This record gives sequence, C-alpha cells and structure tokens, in this order.
Amino acid sequence: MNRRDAIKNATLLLGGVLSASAISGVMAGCKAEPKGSGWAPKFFTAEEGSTLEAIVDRIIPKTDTPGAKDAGVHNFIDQLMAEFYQDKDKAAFRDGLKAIEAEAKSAHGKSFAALKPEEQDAVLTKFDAEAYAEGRKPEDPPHFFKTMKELTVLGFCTSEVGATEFLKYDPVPGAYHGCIPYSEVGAAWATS
Amino acid sequence: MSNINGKWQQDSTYDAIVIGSGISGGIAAKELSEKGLKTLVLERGRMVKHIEDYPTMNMAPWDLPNRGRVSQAEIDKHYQKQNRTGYTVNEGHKHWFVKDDEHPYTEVKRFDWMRGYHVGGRSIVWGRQSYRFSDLDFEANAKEGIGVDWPIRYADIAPWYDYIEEFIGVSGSNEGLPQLPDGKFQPAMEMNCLETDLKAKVESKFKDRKITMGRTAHITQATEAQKKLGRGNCQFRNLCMRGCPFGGYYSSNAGGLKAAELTGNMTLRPNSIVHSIIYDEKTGKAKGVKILDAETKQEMEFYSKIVFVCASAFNSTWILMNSVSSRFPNGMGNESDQLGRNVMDHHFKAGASGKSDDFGDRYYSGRRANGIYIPRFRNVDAKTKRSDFLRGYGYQGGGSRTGWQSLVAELGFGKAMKEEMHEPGQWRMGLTGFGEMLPYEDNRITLNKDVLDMYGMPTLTMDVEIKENELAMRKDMVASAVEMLEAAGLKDVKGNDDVYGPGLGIHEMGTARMGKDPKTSVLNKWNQVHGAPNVFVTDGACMTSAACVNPSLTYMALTARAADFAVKELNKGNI
Repeated sequence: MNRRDAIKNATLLLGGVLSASAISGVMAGCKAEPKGSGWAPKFFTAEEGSTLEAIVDRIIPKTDTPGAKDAGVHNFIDQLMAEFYQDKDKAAFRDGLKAIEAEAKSAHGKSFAALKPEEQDAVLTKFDAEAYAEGRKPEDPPHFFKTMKELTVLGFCTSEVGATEFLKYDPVPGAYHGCIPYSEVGAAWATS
Repeated sequence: MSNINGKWQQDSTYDAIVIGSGISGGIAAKELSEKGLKTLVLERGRMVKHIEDYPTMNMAPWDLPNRGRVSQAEIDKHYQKQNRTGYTVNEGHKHWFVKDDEHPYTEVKRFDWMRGYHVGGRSIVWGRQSYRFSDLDFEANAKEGIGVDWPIRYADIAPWYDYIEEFIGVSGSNEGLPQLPDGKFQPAMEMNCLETDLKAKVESKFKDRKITMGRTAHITQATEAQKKLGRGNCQFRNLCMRGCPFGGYYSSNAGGLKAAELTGNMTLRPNSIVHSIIYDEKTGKAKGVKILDAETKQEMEFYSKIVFVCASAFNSTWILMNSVSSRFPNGMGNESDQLGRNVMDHHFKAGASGKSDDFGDRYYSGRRANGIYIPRFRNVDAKTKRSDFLRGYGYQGGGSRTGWQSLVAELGFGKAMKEEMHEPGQWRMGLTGFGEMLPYEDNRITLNKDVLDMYGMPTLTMDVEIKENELAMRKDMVASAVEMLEAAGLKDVKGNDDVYGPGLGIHEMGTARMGKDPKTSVLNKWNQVHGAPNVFVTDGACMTSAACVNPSLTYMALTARAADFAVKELNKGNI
C-alpha cells in the first residue's frame, strides 16, 4: 500500500476529513528522498558533499539491504547543517571532513571519495578509535566522528528506506501484542 | 443608539460562559449545553478542529525534515522554559506549546509551566493516565492536620467518576484496592513478557504490592456513544501528542467539545483572552466576563447567568486575581488570602531501571502508549505506616527492548554495526515514582504587574519548592524501585533521582482550593466561589490535596458534578 492509499484508507475508516494542506504536507514526504550521487548540497561544497556521501556509505554500507547512501543520509546531514546546527557545530563538522580528506591524501595520495573501500575503512578506523579513545571526558565536546556516526544511524533508521527496507515499520499497527516470538517480526522496529 | 446597545447586549448574552476549552472546559461545555443552556466557550488561543487541524498526525519519521529535532537557536529564542521537559519541544508537536518569549512568567524559584494556548489546550498532549482518588486521599488532610479538609468524600464523586470514565473511555483492570478504587473500564492493554514476569515476581515477594496495567484514556472497545462522536479504538501508533485521527485517546476536541457542538447550544469563540469576571455588587453575583479579542485587540463583554472557570489552574487563578471589585479588592473569592497559595504538582523522576538477559527470543508488535502501574503501597494502613514521610507515591514504568538509538555509544562501524542495528537489543525495565506533594501556604503564585505580556496584561510570579516530606519520599521512591527490580532478578539495577523542578509533572494545582470555610478556602464543596455563587472553578485550581495519581480524571468528574449542581440551582432560582 502506498502512502496516499494509506492516508485515504485511514481517512475513510474514520469517516473523517483531511484538509488539503495536511495531505499535501504528508505527500511532500514521499518526494523528500533523493538518492545516489550528483546531488547538490545546500550547506556543503560539492567536494565536501562527495566526501560525506562516501563516508556514510562506509558507516552503513549497502549489503543485501540498502545502505546509508541509498537512504540519502548525506542529504539529511546536509539539511541538518543548513537549518539546524549552530555555527560552532557546523565549523567542527567541516573541520572533521577536512581532517578525513587530509588523512586520505597523506596516507593514500587520493581524495577520500576516490579510495577503495578497504582504504576508506582504514582511514575511518583511525578516526573511530580516536573518537572512542579513553581519556575523553564527558564534558569534552563530542568528537566529530561520533557525531558523524550518530547522524548516520539516526538519518538511516528514520529514513523511509532504512525504516521499511532494513528495519521493520508499521504506520498503523492496530493492536499491541506484548510477547510474541521474535521470528514473527524478524528485525528491530524502527519506531518505539 | 440605545437600540443598538440593546441588541449588542442581547447578542452577547448567554445562559452560561465557560472559560477555557481544555480537559475541564470541554466537559463543562458538554454538560451545560446538553442540559439545554446556551453556552459560550471562550478560548484564549487559536482554533483547533479535531483531525482537520492536526498537521503532523500522519507523518512518518522521514516526513519531519529534522526527524523531530528543533534547533538550539529556535529553542533559545522561543522555548527556553517549555523545553525543560526534554520532550515537549519536538518538530512533531511543538505547535501545541506556547512560545515563552510571548508568554513570560517570573521565577523566584525554578518553576516549569508547560502549556499550550489553543482550542483543546493540553488535552491534546496530556499523559492520559486516569486514576481515581480514594478516601485515603480525601481524608488525609483532616487526619494529619495538613492544609484544610476536603469538603467532599469519595462517595460524593464516585458516580461522577463512573460517568466520566464511560464517556471518555478508560482502559484498565479492576484490582479491588481500597487506595485505588476500581472503575468502569474498557479492556486493559497487554503487558509484555518482561512486565508479566516482573508482576509475578514482585507480587509473590511483596504481599503489599500489586502491578497492574496503566489505566489510560484510550478506547479499546468503542461504545456506541463514542462511535457516534466519530471516535474509534486506539491503533497503537504512539503518536498521540500530534493529535489522533482515530480519536483513539480522549481529548476535548474529539470528545467534550464535539458533544457540545452536536447539541447546537454551544458557541465556541477562540482568540478570546479573558481579562476578568464582572461582579455585580447589587446582586452579589457575576454578571459576565470581560475579554480582549486577540486578533482585533478590542475589549468586549459577554454576559451570562453562570460562569465556569476552566482556564487551567494558574490561569483560572490569574483571572480571579485580576477580577477585583469593591466586594473583592484582593481578587474574586479571596477573603481567605488563599488564592494563589498551596501550589502542588506531582514530584517524579525518581526511580530505577535495569536490564534482563531473558526473553531474547521474544518481542512485541504495536506501539503501546501506556505502561504498567504500581499503586501506592506506603502509608495505606497501620502496617505500611512510615515514620520518615506522610502520604505516598505510585510507580509508572514499563519494559521494552532497546533499539538502534542505543548503538552509537559503541566503537565500530560498517557491516558489523549494521548487522547489530538490525536486531533488537536487550530487554530493559524502568520504574519512576510519582509522589504526592503537600499543600504549603508559602508555595504560591502572585500577580505581577511589573512584567506585562504581549497584550499588556499582568503576568504571574512563581515561588514554589518541594520540601522535607517530598525529599524524604524521593529517597524511598528510589530505594523501593531498586528493591523490586532486584527482587525480580533484573541485572545492573541503578537507582536514579534526577533533577525535578516543580511544575515538571504538568499537574499544577491547588491555587483556589475547595474547603468548608470561606475564611480558609476559595471554593465550597460544589466548586462555587465563596461570595460569588454563580462562579464555578472546576479545574486543577480547586484541588485541596494532590494525592499521588494523575489528576485530570478528577478535574473532569468534579466539573460534571458541579455542572449538574449549577443547572439544578439555576432551575430552582437559587443562583
């Protein structure tokens, strides 16, 4: 069932009326899922955008299910940077991307996006270890790569692709069953 | 000219005026208009029509551009106080909360006043937990010499609890406990594996304790009357705070206001900020109310035989404070100087949580916007008497499996992390106590004429704190939660006593209390203002004590009871 049908059915069930603006608001969500490369970032430069896209693709890679890039997580992070984060957070995130780019060039002589997946993973492993290193205090500002992972996981699990093709999502469950075999669900629920 | 004025007077005259359209005002509107009174409902905020005006109700997570988050810049500008709960200011439902910069108040001590100004008020976003007060609650003040005695007992309100539960729809189970009376419930929701296990273990190890399913104002078996209003069963989406397209939970918009509308006797007037109640010195009664139209900025008057004040505890109190006359120079009904005093809330955020290694092959489906409830077990009889504090608390809580939200704290990325993300995490159980706060005269709100709101009206100053009794109770709230979770075999059990600011329970009440004596209370046993018998205050302001249970059900029952009395008195010519 597509979203328009789902909404229509819900409305019919109710015998209620949905305003045109409510429907167009919900329907707009169907289109907000740009995929693949060649995207035009709102906040990042084109170069930063391609680095970001390559990073999220390694944090949650495509396997037999879609990955973060398929879900447009880079668009989501770009959106947050453009409209949500404050200047100092934006600067920290940008510096992080620069550091990854610099590491890629010094270790492998190429831009991060142009590296092989194994090389990309080697670069990211270094930053991951740094982000979770002992000696970081809770009051320290979060490490860039931790923010990157958080946003990738958040963006992926709350995306339509991540929620419906990787996790389980049911917009209108209709009932609560409190103790069923896990095999009947088969994946973690996307929403609680 | 006189003719025009006469016509205006006629057009602006009703049998009854209800101030406020939230959880209490909706019931007042329904009862008065169903009894045949031409009823004007005044709401200070914008219009919100059921279903039509819930802009986010059907949105999936990916339909919210920031996936629920609201930027720090926006919070700093508009929501510094409303954000203190940690959950109110969300992309999906922030439009149900006021902007603090538009609606300031002053804090002598921290007070978290969470509220929304629109038709339906907080009934759109309330917690929906619905429990009855018992005689343990109604008798406590008198027995312990705290505050003043309630002028009513359980028998006075019991039939009205029945009536309200049947109208709004409450799901739950009857347990036969004297401290938490049974009710007219629709089928209870299901407990999950871990909750059922906890129930069995706790009830066998602690003979004085019981675990029951939360009693919540969700329909699980719609009645004909509820269907007629367009309401249906809860669909377990857990998106309640956005407004429910199914009318699955009770809100004023889906329930009381809808029923009132169907009578043809109600006129709902949004954008009508009540300035004061007009007192007629000759008759010794109110003759109407004065409002400011928020759109035209015009002052207007409306007239009626009775006035129901249901503007929420503090705003109802504000209206009485602002209603001065030679009879009431310090605010309507305030000969006792009790108006604005005895602020109560429920203190919470003290409890415990732990994890379970069991049930790894079990899961659940559906999103249940409800949890388990452990009714009060302290100071309920001689055996459970405590020396360290008066009154008691109940626990709300629940079990669930962790999900992707808890993963990023860990090292690693790539395929291995993705595989882990795909599976639910371990089961966890949490309990948080909701404790009774005593009425203290010096916990008070006052009218502040130095700080004016955007309409040039005075604002409120809050001076409220929890004291020794609450602090001692919180220690026990943590200790008993830890004790029960450990006894049930949960692992890594940790107690928590988090920062609680009064108001955070969003159960503010008590500032125009009911009592037997006009010298020590503002309202009588029928919620009538002492000295202005056609003015009824039936929201949280009227509460003489707080008990430890969620209060909205009691506000609704008291409102229906007062409306019944008011119309009978009106028909007898007594008011």
